[in-house]
Amino acid sequence: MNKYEQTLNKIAPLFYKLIQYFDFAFNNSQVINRYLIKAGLTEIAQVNTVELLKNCSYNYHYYIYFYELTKHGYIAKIALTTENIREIYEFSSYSVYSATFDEVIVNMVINKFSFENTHIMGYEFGIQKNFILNNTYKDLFIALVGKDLYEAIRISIK
Amino acid sequence: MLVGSSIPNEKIIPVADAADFAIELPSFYVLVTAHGSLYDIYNKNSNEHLRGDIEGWNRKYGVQFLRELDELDKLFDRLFDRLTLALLALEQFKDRLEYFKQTGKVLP
Repeated sequence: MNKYEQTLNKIAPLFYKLIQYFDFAFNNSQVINRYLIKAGLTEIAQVNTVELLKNCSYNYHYYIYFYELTKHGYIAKIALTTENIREIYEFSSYSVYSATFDEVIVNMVINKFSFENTHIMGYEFGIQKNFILNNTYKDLFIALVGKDLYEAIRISIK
Repeated sequence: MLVGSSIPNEKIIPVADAADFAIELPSFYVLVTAHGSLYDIYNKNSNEHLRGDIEGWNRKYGVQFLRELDELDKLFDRLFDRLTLALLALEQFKDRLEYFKQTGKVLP
């Protein structure tokens, strides 16, 4: 087996698992909103647009989205890189792109929660301005995953 | 030949099944199955696919493709433990959401 085959055989199964959670989050976006309201993160759920990860600085970037590839239709594409995804894709401040909740979870863990105290940013189309919400990424992570697992991961992460 | 099968002198033949997803490298999209079988690679800028003129593709992009995949390989190894923990967190997220869907309650 060639080196590139070994690499793809190693990486693909884990990436494919990650995609299943992306699909799940994508298909349950309205339920997630209701869940966040019930969990007390009302502002995130009710803001005009929540711009997840947009104002965060971190080293490792995990990115996933649907993309239309020639001849293949829509397919999930996944990237793991040290390069800033926003610089690669030249996302503007008015871009509609916002990370999904599963992307937030993965990026927080692989970056050892380095931006957990950053406040989440929203965007108001009416005034075309960003604004900062009261909740931090730590608040969001705990709401989505639970405090016990948050603490367990923080202890065990290398 | 830089990109090819494990059989000497045999050029790569993409698997017949449709790809399950794409891995994005700085210069390429790599279409693979869930188990990592290669389906197609294409250069983002030129849109040249591996399928077709394989030798020509190799001459132009083979070295670059292997270098970029090697970078991803190293990064994957470095972050493997954290990615595994992230999967654990995602599973918990899914479980909590399913519980909410069934009961209307949020677990503490």
